[in-house]
Amino acid sequence: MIEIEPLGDRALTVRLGDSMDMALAALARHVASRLRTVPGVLETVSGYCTITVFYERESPSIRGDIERTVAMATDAATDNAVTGTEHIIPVRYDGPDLDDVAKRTGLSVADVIERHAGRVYTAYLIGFVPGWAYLGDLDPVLALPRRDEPRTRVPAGSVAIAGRQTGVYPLDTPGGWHLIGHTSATMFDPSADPPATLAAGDRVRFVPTTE
Amino acid sequence: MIEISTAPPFATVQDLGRFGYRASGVPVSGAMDPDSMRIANTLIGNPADAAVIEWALGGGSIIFRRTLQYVVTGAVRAPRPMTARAGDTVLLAPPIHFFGRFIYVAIEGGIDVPLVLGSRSTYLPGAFGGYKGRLLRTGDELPVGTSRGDGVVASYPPFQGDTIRVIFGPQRAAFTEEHRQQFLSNAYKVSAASDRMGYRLDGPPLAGGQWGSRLSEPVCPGAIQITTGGQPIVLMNDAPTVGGYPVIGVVHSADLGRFAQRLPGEPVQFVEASANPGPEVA
Repeated sequence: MIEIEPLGDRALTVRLGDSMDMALAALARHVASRLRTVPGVLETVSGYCTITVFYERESPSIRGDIERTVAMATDAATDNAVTGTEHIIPVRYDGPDLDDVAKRTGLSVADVIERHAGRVYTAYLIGFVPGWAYLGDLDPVLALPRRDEPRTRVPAGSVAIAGRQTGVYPLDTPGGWHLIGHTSATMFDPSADPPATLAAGDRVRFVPTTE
Repeated sequence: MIEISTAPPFATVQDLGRFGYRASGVPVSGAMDPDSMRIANTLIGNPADAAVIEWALGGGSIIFRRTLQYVVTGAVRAPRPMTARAGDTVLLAPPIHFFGRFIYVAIEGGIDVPLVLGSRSTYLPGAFGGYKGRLLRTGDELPVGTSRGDGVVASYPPFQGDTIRVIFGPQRAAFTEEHRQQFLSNAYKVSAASDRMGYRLDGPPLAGGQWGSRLSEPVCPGAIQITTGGQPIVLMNDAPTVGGYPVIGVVHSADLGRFAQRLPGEPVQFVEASANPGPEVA
């Protein structure tokens, strides 16, 4: 079921499904890369199971061009693994919610760290704040709902978890995820191009450090 | 060079926005009322997209270090290009609320702050762009450039009435036809909780739906999110690039500047529009 709906008069949302799914996200990235070659398309953003395509202005052909490109890209997508960059992010596991996460999951702190650092994550979607990557999938044992009371200020570099996802706060912002550690890695730099360290499809490993 | 000799409570440097970085999560920012910005620039011979000062919530003054043309548009009675001589202090009246909440101060040559990711627009939540990524303060000295336009003066789009056009989608399945009709017939007012990130609307909550948060997906300025309580928020230029609340529709890009000028308490009436209104009139 592929649905294409307008997001205003300058964009379309292409919906491939409605779930958080590695294969759908990979297909979305593939479709997005094809859509960037369509004349008139300005930028694309791929997410969990959607692609949003921004174009200059409505023209007689643009919608048809986008629909055809989506149909072709999803049809011929037998091997569409767009390989992302792998990043290693050092983490000092000393977040203010670490003990609470251990208590609520019934694990030891060491076990929480091992389970968080023990897998490779994929960036599903970049957004919420510049440079924030929704990374998945987190070990189901660590899955907790967001905090009841979001913090009004989470410091940049905080490593956090919520649901089946994890992420690193790139800027000081309000936030409702559980803070389990922090990193000195830069996740967003407006003087760099691209400014976000992580792109959709990139892979991330967290490595415990005492630095 | 100009000096902000008395800053209003809210003023930032803006151009038409920062495009091409949404995949990095960077919002477009830019002037909330881009038509007024383009008109200001072209009235004094600047390129339409030269950076200007977006100014709100009070009056103030600017000292000119060189002789330069300037003009004020937006929430003013009638824009009039003027020349300030070197050393002049120009007093700026607060926005006239009958006409809106923002005024645009264009200076001959454009405000020449450094480009960040291709734009001079200020993005306050990220503290970058514009003048040091922040609100202008009394005593700030802004460099002025030398850019010249092509002499074509911009104008407001033809008057379409007071209604705001909305294009339904991109999550039609999250709402019923009844919800959409209810949304069009509700009497909304701009809430006091409205800023460059979003305008909340006060009015009867949209009833009969379960609008919890869903998987986040890309949004854009003008997207109308429905919160868990059924209240709409219209995302504006500094809103996050993705959102998790369901989006009932999106304000037509040609109407967003006019909507942005509405003050808290002002009514908003939405009408349905198609995404493809036919050939555009130049």
